[in-house]
Amino acid sequence: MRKIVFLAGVLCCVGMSLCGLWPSPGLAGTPARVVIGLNSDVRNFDPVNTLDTTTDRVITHIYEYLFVRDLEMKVTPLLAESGRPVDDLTWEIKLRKNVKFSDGEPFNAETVKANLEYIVKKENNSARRVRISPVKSATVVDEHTVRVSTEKPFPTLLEGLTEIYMAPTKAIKAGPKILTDKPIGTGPYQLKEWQRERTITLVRNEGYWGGPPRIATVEFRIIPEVTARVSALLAGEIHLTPDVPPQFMDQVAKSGTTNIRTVAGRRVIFVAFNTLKPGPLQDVRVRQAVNHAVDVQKIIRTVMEGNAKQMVGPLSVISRHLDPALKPYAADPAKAKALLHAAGYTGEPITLHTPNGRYLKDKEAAQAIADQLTQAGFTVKVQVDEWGTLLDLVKTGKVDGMYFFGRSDTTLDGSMIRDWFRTGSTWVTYSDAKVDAAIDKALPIVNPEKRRQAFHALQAQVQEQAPWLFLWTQVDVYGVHKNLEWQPRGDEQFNLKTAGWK
Amino acid sequence: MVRYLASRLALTLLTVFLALSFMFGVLHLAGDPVLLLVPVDSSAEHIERMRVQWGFADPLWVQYGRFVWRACHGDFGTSLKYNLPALSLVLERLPATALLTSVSILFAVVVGLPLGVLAAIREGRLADRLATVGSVLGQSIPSFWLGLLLILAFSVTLGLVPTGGMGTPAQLLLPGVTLGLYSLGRVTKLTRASVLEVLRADYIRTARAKGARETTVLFRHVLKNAANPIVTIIGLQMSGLIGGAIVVETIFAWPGLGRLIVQSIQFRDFPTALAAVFFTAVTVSLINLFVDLLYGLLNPRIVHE
Repeated sequence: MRKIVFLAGVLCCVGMSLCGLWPSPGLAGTPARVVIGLNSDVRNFDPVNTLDTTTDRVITHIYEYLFVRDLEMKVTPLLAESGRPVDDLTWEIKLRKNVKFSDGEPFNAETVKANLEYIVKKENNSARRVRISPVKSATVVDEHTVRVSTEKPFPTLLEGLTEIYMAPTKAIKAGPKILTDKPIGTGPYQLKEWQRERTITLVRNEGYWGGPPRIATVEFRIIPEVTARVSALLAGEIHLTPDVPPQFMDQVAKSGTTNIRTVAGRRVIFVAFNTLKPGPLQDVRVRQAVNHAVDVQKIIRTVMEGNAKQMVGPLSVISRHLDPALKPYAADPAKAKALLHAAGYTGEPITLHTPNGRYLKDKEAAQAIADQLTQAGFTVKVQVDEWGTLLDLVKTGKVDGMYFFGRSDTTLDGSMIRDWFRTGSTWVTYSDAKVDAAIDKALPIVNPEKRRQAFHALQAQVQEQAPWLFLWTQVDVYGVHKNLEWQPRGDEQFNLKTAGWK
Repeated sequence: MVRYLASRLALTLLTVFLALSFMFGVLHLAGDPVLLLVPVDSSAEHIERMRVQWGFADPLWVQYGRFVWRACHGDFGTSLKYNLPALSLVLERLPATALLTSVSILFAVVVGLPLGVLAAIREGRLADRLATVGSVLGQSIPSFWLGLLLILAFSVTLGLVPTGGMGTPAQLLLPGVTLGLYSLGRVTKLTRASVLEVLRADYIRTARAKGARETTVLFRHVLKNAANPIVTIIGLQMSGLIGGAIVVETIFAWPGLGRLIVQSIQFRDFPTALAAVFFTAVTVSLINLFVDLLYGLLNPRIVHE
């Protein structure tokens, strides 16, 4: 009886698939289409009021920047042709000609002026203001030339512009909220359909100034559960997905249809100390002891399964101002013990806060760190916090002891050091007058060679003061269909403009 | 009857109001939503400006008053994450939730009811044992494990159905079964128990004694009298599934209401979370009311006063 039921079921499936009622899951592989699996949806398509990785991963196909980073993360012109400083407070940017928005509006100096001035105006509360906040105004020189004035010297203007999209002047004047679900950009793709929390479908912009891209349709599919997302990749339903966790890498690499591609990212992972509250961590020797007590390489090998690159100082390993001469703290528990002894630390308990699942293997790594610290003579208690709670604790400075955290090195030239260590910056729980002075001195330097030297010196200084336990730069792991010509980027963007099928 | 209905509806309103107030309090206890919503690199000044713009700078009672006043006018505000009206975000999840809920309940009833009856009339025999073990399994297998297992077997290995998403009937199969299996277990067990109880009643013996055929006894007398608890459990399962299919919705990338609630709480998207809770509270209350009314139809001895 049960056999008959089973057979009937199988016949039913076969029958339905023959009739075409049952769409074959493998169908996604039509050559001109790429399906990408994401773990969450975009917020919306407003290029001015959003600033988060997931949203950017999608909307960079629709809107474009003046400057963009190439695969080596070097800043290169995109909608601009060139950009150069005229004096310490003025930049001149030449624009590409014959660029049009998908609704026909021409892209010109007026567009740049409207966008930049809208974003930097405080009352507009643009999320992207933080990237170019020193910008004061923009003046139109001619149709394709614009001058940007800054309040103070802003040597990283072009880096900042790699995260500022150009929206049509009309939309900016009407308020960029009208782009929330109807984006209009100059980019290689246009939005065809957005089914919230399901799919986002982009189609190629046939009139794209750089010539239409090879892939005609890009579909983003939202699959929140990671096992299901990897399964969809293995089943051929999606062709590309970011953040493949270590436990699935082997399976993806050996499936025959997919492979793993990795790239050193710009996200730095560390344990920060709250030195604003009284406690043993106010003593630099204790902070150095933490750095000596933890064997970062060992944790990378065991917990991270190799998917991380050890940081030497406070900058990401792909930063262009990384000092190649700098050496990381040696893993040396004996030295740690000696430093602790010298500091007079007698086992006062220190809390290590950690999020769970916000960063790759965060909780596991925090536990391994606590373990090693205990062996070196610390008394450490791990406390797992919900992400929002941890943010709250750090923002208000109420967090005690130390906390596992991550930041994104968005400028990749060292200037993020201000956001990470300067007294009074939003998420900083550390204060040192000498470091502050060095940061304030280094930031406005325009001359490239002098800037490089200043940042090298700054890194050494920060490393010595040890406001963090320096851990690693995350390696981003992608699962990719083996026939897809596409390379992962250090800035977590997909950029399918140049992708294609073999 | 009319008075009964009116009082029940008034009670429903009160329930919804209390649920919303409770949710409002709990959400605000969880802390400041602004930090999660602005980019991590934001300056303290930008965070403060957004707090003012979104109204989180006001004292809590002002925020509560504003929320109640607007909710009474059907306005749940704008989603902080999507920047779209919160209630419309909830309503656009409805078809997905309704579809998944009805398919899994249908599965549970169509399979569970006959199974329960079979188990009862074959009490103590192999069919009964299998059905009992099966229903216990159905209730105790964790859905995240079963769901992933089904994906691996039917999507990755056999390639028969898609791993997830929504749009074609095939995509409904795995989540429907995964979700339905739990209800299936409960329906089977309860059907078995209430049919057994009725089978032992005097009027069944009388029916058999007057020479009624076994099928007549079963459908006319047994099932009708065993129906009340079964209807209750189906109603309960349904209310549970409206907002509670979170795990299955997440695994199968099903864009339902449960996931929306969890996501909006994680993101501290208060307007959306409250709109979703409002909707769930209303639906569950109405289902309960409907089930209560159904009792009277099924069993005329029950009179609603």
